[in-house]
Amino acid sequence: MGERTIVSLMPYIMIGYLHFRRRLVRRANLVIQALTVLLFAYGLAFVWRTLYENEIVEPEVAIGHMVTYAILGAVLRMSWESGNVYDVNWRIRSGNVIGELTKPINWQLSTTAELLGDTAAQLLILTAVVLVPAGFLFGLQGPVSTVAGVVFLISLLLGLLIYSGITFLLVLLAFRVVHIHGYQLALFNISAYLGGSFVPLWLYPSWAEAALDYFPFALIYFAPLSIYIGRAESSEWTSILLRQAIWVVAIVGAGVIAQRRVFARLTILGG
Amino acid sequence: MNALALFLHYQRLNFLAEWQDKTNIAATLSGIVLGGFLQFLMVVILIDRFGDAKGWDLGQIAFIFGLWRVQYALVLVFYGSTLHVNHLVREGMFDRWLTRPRSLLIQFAGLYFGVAMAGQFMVAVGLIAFGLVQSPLPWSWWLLPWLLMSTASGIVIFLSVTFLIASSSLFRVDTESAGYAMHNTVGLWMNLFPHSVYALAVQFILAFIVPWAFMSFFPSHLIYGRGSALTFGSSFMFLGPVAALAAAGLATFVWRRGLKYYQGAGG
Repeated sequence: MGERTIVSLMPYIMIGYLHFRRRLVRRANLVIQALTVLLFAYGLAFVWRTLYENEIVEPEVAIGHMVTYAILGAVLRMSWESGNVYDVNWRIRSGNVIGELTKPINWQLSTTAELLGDTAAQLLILTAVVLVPAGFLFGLQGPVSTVAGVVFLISLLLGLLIYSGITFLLVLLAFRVVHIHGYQLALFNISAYLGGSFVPLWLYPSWAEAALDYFPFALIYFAPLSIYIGRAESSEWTSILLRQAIWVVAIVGAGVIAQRRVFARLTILGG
Repeated sequence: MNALALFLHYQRLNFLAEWQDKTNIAATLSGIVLGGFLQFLMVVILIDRFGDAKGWDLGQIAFIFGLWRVQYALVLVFYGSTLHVNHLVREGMFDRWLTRPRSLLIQFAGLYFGVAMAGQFMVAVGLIAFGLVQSPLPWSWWLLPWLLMSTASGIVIFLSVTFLIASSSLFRVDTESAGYAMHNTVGLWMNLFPHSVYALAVQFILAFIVPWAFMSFFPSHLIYGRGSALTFGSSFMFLGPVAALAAAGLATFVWRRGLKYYQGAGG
């Protein structure tokens, strides 16, 4: 990455950093949220243990891996849901977004930087308050290997970029319909459930698992988590990362085109 | 204008205001119904695969969760605004509410009418219907009064906890996350399964700290004749109204203390 690229990205890095700091200011909120997720993680660990006790079927993965999958899935889901969409939607509804649109920056990049900053802060707190104790209390396991851990992090970042790309498309919708809370709810639910953050996709009926291959949702949660627990073998990693990268390009590209169209139709009164 | 008339007047205005944006109503309704459907689909997948959860079958799980969601939905439709008390305090708007010659309870109820949140109610009814079809209830003469009493107790419990969290804003503590956590993570997620699947510590929290267990899980033991399976003793099946009174008393006490502590942000 050249020096010019870093300089041109600097405003967005700073926007992301400011959102990261701003999110950390409301510590009481974050800690309460994290403790709730810890309780939820504790609950999830027991749900899986209870289900495994039934011994009706031979489970595909060991209980330790299943508990790890469930807890990490909960933490990621809560981190990705940062409330950033609500803020941007409010700025569009109130008209305050004009202050951002007149700045000499790329609005898609700055909105994405905000989301990434907020998400990083949530992830940091949830990791400290949930994952560290969960390692001691609920038997949360590490990645199957160091290499798997690194590939997991890359896959996680690509999954987050897919999620933020879809979120940006949702935000653009606010210029047309004003309120996007309902769409946000639908998106969050679809990505969380069909993305395998709660129940891994290998437990779905085979036709549903196959159908979900055509959507990007499984690449947000299921793909990185499968790498982490070793369900996805090393021979599959390249294909997973490649699919994620293709979806990132496709969704970000769709965002560029959609933003151009929205801004071409945008009329702002006042000054 | 008496309190009821004022409440109905507020609600009529709120309804008309919300009705202006039909697209938003349709989108929110769809989002909530889809979310409820997908969430329960996860349980269907798990129970289909693993059989049951501590002896509770799919129909019973749907009924217990549906009963909880009915109470949750009724509170949210009328008192969803309590989630935003912190905004009113932070923006200095709460002072205006205090100067009005009406109870805050009436004013809060009138602040917002969740037309779209009626989707929560549709999900709840759907779950109960599914539960009744899958595992029909053993009907008795006392069943309907019991369900009505449990629902009333549950509404009071949920409303009290919601007000308790809202009260914290009056002490200048921003606990917006706590509100959402109680509603969503601990509420909509942890009630998804019968509480007996959880560790004793979690069951304790769900009974005595965030008393959601009194809303539907404990009362359902009487309906399904499983009182002996209750972790804290079979008498807990009947303690919903007691828990409701205790929660309401605590919420009223803390709310009043909060109002005394609260200092206006200006005029």
